[in-house]
Amino acid sequence: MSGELAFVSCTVNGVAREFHVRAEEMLIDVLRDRLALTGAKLSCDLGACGACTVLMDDKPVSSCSTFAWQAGGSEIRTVEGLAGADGTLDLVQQAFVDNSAFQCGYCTPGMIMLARALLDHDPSPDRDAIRAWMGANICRCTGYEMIIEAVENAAAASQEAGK
Amino acid sequence: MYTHATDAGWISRTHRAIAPFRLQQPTTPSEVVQALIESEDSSIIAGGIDLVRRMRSGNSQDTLIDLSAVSGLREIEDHAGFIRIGALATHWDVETSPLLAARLPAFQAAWKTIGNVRIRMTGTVGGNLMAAERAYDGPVLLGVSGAKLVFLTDGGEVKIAASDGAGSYPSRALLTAIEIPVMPNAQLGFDRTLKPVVSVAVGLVDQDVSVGVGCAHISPFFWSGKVSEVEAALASALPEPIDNPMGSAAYRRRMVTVLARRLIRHLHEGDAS
Amino acid sequence: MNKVSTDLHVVGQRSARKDAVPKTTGTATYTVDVSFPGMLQAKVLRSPHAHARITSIDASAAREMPGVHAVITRDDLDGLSPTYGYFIKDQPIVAMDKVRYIGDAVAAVAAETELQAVAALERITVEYEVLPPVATVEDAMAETAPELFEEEPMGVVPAYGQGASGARRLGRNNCYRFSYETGDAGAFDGCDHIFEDRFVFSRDQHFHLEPFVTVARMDGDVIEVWSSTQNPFPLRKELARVFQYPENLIRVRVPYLGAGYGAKNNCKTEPIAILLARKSGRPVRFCMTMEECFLTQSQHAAILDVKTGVMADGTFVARYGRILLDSGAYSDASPLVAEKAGYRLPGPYNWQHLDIDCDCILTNTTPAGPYRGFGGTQAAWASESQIDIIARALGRDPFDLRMQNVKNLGEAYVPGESGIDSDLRVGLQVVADRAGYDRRASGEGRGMGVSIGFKDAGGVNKPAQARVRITTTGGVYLECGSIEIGQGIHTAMSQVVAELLNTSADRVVYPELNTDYTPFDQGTNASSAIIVMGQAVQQATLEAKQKVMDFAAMELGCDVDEIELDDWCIRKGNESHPLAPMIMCYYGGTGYEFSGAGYFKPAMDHSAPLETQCVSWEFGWGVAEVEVDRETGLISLVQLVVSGDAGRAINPLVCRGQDEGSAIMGLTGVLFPCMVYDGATLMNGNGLDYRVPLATDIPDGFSSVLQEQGHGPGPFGAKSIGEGCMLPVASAIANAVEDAIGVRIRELPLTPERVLAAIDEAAE
Repeated sequence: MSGELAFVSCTVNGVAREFHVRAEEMLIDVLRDRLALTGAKLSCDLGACGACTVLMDDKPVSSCSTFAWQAGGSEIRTVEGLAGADGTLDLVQQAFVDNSAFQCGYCTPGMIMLARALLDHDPSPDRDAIRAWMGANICRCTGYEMIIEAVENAAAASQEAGK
Repeated sequence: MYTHATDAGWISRTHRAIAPFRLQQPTTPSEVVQALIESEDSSIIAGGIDLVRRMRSGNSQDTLIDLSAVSGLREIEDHAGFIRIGALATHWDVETSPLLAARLPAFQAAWKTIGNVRIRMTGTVGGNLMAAERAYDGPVLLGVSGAKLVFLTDGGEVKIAASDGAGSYPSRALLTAIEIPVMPNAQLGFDRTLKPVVSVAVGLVDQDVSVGVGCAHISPFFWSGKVSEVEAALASALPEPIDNPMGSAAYRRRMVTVLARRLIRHLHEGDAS
Repeated sequence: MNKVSTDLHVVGQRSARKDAVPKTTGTATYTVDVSFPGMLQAKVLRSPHAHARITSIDASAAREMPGVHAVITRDDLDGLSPTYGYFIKDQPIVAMDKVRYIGDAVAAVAAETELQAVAALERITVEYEVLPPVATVEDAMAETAPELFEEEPMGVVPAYGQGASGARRLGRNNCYRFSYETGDAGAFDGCDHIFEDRFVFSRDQHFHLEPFVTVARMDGDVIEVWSSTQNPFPLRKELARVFQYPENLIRVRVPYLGAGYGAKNNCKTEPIAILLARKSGRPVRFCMTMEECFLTQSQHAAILDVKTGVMADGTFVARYGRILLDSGAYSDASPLVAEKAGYRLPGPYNWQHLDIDCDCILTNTTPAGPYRGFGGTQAAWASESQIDIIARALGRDPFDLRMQNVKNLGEAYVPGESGIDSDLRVGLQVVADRAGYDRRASGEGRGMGVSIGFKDAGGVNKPAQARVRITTTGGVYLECGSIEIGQGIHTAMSQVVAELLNTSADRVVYPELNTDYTPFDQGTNASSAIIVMGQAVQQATLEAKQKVMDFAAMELGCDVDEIELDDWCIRKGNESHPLAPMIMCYYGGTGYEFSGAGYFKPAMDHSAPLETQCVSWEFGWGVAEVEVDRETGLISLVQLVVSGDAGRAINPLVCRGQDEGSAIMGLTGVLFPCMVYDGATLMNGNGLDYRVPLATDIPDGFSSVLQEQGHGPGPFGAKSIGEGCMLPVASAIANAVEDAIGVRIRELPLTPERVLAAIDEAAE
């Protein structure tokens, strides 16, 4: 016995998308299985670790704990949508590359989206604000310092680029 | 997480094993209450954070009543003598509200320590209360602030003191707002540094104090009285705290007194942290 | 700190990692991302009892459920050798006679959806005869304790060299003992002071964000296994034995790993996935939840009794150690961890006599296995704590006492062993200087502590093979079994190869790991990649290069000594000869590939305690500064300074990440609760309740210093980085607490309640 279907209309990385989903379907599975956007990763499945973080109307959300129908009418952004059409990395992505702010990389898409949300919200956060915001997501590999430096550098680069 | 449907064993479920449900999306608070009454087996979903966790553990319901289309429940408004926070205000709304910054800054600062930015942008004040989770700070902070919880039932509006606890929430009712009194000399202190073992909040108006204890019992414990009586009262009135490998009852009990004493002292000395 | 002065242009660069773009754009493939048409989902039924006999199990109803394609219980293991393990093959694919911990796999189902699989599992009936559990080491060793294994499982004790030995089943639930002895026990008699302390180490969980996951399918006769595993070749061998199937018909494929920290070794999800795939004829994905990972593998808790004899002037003389490792319900890698916990207990200090036993005690809890530090974490907790105890008793500064007793560069660790290859005093001074140890506030609730984390590096008797191929246009394939688990090894190896070939690291490609094609490697573990595999890679590169040079010299009609390789051009004096046209001229327009093979294994040496000398040594120097709230017991970390010695840093950014990541991982189970058990029930086995360090836990005073002292056996003098900086953290913090409030705590974690209890006790 499966639940009823809901019709969801949203944009994903700037592209309008429509889905028929079961009421209990989660956003992470729509992204990964239907749109092949496998950057968002399933880990704790409780909304605690943030490896599944995507942006929904500029808010960082746990896609493992967000029903697909909750995304109706929203703008969803995932890590796959950050780079330019010509492959130029977003400044946050580039900062993670330049500062080696990742290791196994499993938390990285979520971390990048979390950082992207921060800089969208506050283009020049101080170190304490970065640490408090980035404290939302778990990284088991890096010890966080290099991630915080990457976000600082991304903010500085954004200011320079006048973005 | 784990379901134990039979004696044979445990099964660890992912979100993909969440039981199917019907979705209702009412647009007014009255429609919500009607839906609650008409449905045998329903749950309300606001941000969904706690509900989804429970569903992953096997909790199921026939119907989910989604509040996202209900208007009028998210405002933070100034009233004479109190601030009214709509139950669907997110923690982020509370954290960034200019009204709260002006009128209840200590409350706003304490509320800002809840969770992390992902939780705060999606989770709602009402959801935090209705989850009735032992480890949650919301009920403790509201309890010591003298807050009232406003419910809409089939018979009209019902107001409950936050410090009465989740046991006194009416059933088949919708939490619509939280009213927090604004008093000239009121101060608020909160110490969550010993979580998940114990947390303590203190609401102070001159020599009258409200103490709230979180994490240490099944639900938050509140006591109100005179500052001079606090330690004696906590010694005698505090129910036996939880005793488990995360923290002993003795330690929790002792810390309640230590933290309450400190918070009161800080507030009296003007260092409201 | 750069004592290695060579003119290098790729090695030593902070170049962008090879996996940077895939991982920052979401295109990196992990085993969780692998999918096949018709793939089924596997779910497992797990024991609700810590210890019970299975009197009956009936899965007939489950087999009939909609969407179910295969069911496994103990009745479906015919034709298999159904138990696996390291030295001791005691862990069944699914429970056979007994269940031995809450979470032990009892049955498995493959179905089209997870809901269908769950519904099927719920139709399986199991009758248990509950047995009394033993949840702690003490309970398990008691005279009347029930045995987890009434009969001795199949297993071996490996050969050891000088001073070392192993033994099985020396007591109740004692599945293995490693012993090491050197010198004369009479040395204790000549000591001025004897210190006896018991230290308790609590177990942590690896908390790798990517769970244990396998996708298995039949590809003709080949069993193809995609797995998040660190040791695909030993896994292949073990699967071949379990399934009674030829090794070369089992293909293990390993994409990027979402971390492992040691957990992802040997059989985890693979046997169940394979069996379900064979029975169903469909690809099967078995991906554990995080909660299941907590019930599959953990670190070892330990009780360490350490008796140390010293002279009045502070000279270390003799150490006796008795370590009990809580191995959980199955032996897993416990015998190997016992080897290393025992072997590392002396620390990098001079001793006249050592006598150490390390026992693996089985308990009805999650099986314990390899965890970053591998016994060195537990050993350092005890050893480095006791050094401070000794120092304070003798009225000595703990820093000075270490400086007095550490081994010198080049001194053999123990008789027959290789020499220490870092200057330990230099390292200790580095962290002390950075932290301001000389100027520290000491007492009144604030204090500093130092520690030297220590382990042997490179594994034991590890063979490594590598192959390098170079195409007509100078594209390089680096084929080796070192897995990119986050440690940056693909990047580092590419830089090494590029340096040797005098080209850019962009030209080096690391093909996917596939046991059908990749040369054999024992596993990505033991901080061994750059120092063990690195030597094989270097050899392979130089062999390929030699062939290129010989070819070019022949074509140019000159001596090999007259030419140089420069970015796939041959330089002869002022002339520059591109190689591609030369190759096509000789080999034809279709071109050619040059290849070289490399191999490294330390030589067998029976005078070395572990039968081969250790390839290298890994250190983590650490200083912690804390403030202690004496009313609540809460410890605030003010500073944490760590340093590792990379020998020669192939990529300093990568090295820094390893030092800092391991240090912060070392905070788990020190400042926060570990895996908390209530009897045999795990209380916090999920991503919400288990407390791992967050960005908000890192003080501003956290920093790392990367040393490059040289002396390394790896390419360009490289040494291991990856585990060292985890090792000093717990003891540095406990030492800082003693400096702050004069109270010594010997048990982890240093929860506020435990600290307060110690303060109370000291006040009495």
